[in-house]
Amino acid sequence: MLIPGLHLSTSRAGTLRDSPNPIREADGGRVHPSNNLTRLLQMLSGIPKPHVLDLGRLSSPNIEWLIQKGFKVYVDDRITSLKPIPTPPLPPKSEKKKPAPAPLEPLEYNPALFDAVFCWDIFDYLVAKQAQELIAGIAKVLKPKGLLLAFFNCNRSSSPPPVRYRILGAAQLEYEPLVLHPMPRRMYENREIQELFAGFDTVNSCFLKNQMREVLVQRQAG
Amino acid sequence: MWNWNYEPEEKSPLQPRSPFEGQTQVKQNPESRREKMGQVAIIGQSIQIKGELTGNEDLTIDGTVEGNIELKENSLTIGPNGNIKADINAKKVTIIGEVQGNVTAEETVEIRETGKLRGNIVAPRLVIADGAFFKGSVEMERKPAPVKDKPHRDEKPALRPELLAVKP
Repeated sequence: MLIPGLHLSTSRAGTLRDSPNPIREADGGRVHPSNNLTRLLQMLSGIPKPHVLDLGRLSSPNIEWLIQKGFKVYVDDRITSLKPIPTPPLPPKSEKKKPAPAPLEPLEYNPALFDAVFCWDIFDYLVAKQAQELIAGIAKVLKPKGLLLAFFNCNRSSSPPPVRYRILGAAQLEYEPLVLHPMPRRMYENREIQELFAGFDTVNSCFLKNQMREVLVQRQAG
Repeated sequence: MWNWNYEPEEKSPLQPRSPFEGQTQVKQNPESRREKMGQVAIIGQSIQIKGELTGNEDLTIDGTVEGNIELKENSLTIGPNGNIKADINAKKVTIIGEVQGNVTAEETVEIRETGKLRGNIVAPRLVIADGAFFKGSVEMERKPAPVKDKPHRDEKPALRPELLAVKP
């Protein structure tokens, strides 16, 4: 279903005829093309030494790759630092309440510092309130017209394991599965994604063959 | 206090009673037996230092340091119990414990699996193990190699009294 204003792309990245990097089956489906990464890099190409913030799982190859491309890289792993929601003792049947999620550590950076923020799939691991807090924080630290790249799980049948996104090239990502304790992962409807990025313009959003949605949004200028 | 791994044969007259009394000289010659034996100085788990820590030999810190650490020509290892709240400037930095502060290295910064760093990194090479924690910015700029003045053949190498000194 297409939602007005979200500009969801109907093309599946894995089936693009002109895709320079089709999925490499030899890698067990771990390597995927990323049109939005390509687009993000193209849009930043005119900026001298763009400042980027990586909020995903720590990856030193990504840091090196981005630095080689001329970026100043900031790293702030928001998933590893997530505190698990505590399991309270069972309440009486009449008082069933969901435990409140721990508030997220605020993004302590100067306002409008970053040209781009990599969120990868961290929103999948946040409850709605945490996701809204994070997006509000990102909006503050992003420059006007700054870019945000985010991924969302759209697989209704199963929850994919946690992965680390490793940049293999300007148009290619490796989804490296991580051996971690399982983390609850939510699935966003298109409407929820649209609401999450209310203060942003959608540059491109595409649905990948691996049931992930790649979203590239841009902070509104005003 | 300093957990050397051997007993020196003779004590230097400059050996301090406590390395914390002002800028104190602990050792004069950097080409010591300790270095030749591949050993490093160790600040033990129970040691707490506040101030500026400088030196000319490899150092492992397993205690607590607050202030500044300068080991420009040597390696620094923050041990598993090390807890540092200081800016670090060393040739090579390995973090196994916790560091809060900016880290500058001539060669490499390595954060091991249990290592935690909150601060900015400036180093030409960065190694981060799986499970490590890092929050901060990274600059991987290579500094031009400093031109060293070669000593004259007949000239004896100058003593370096600032080998391992702690400023309170």
